[in-house]
Amino acid sequence: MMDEKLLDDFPIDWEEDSFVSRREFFKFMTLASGGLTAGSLGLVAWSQMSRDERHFEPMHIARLEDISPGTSLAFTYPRKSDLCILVRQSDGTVSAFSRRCTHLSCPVDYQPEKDRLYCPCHNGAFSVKDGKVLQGPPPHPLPQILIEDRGGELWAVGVKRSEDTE
Amino acid sequence: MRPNDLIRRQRGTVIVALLLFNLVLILLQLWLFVSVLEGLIGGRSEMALPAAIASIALFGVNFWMLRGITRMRKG
Repeated sequence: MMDEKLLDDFPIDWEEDSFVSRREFFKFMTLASGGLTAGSLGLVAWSQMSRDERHFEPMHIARLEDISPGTSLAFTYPRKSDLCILVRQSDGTVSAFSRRCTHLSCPVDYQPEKDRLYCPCHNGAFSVKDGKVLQGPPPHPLPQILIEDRGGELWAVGVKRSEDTE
Repeated sequence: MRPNDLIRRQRGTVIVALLLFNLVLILLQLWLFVSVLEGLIGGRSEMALPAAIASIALFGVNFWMLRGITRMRKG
């Protein structure tokens, strides 16, 4: 009785319907399994590609003499949306890093008194020498911006990802 | 119940069991794939090769089960 009413309300045209048997479904799932295997092999190929150091179009950043020791300069490289920070340490050494904290992408600031790059969002800190994590939740070092001194002019030429601290 | 009906029912149960096992293995493959992808995006690549080997092994098991089902059908 109930079935008849249900069929009246929701009629099914069995001849127009198509079934997928369990065996066909099994075949489809095995195909998906093959696809995931191919994807995993693709990831292996990707992991073998050198991503540690990439060179981009060189970009002029600043004149060395314009940046006094113990100060920093914000710039973008290689794209306009890639925030970076150039630091001239007290001993005169120049280094540059991506400004995005590797935890949740907050911008880091240079703290000359502690000689470190500090993320105020979650108290993360990075070394100004190599970008390694000094404290806090960041899982990876800051990517380093490769800088060249061309006769007193500082040029950014590439980006280098450091090894994990873990 | 006739013996043929019994065999058919048993086959049906075996196919459903294999199908469920197949689903579990595919979910495991998917988990491996996503974990490796997340690792690569985060700069860690050491898991890629072991995960790919595990994925190949899981696909081998799935393929072996599919062959078994195909043979069961013919038999």
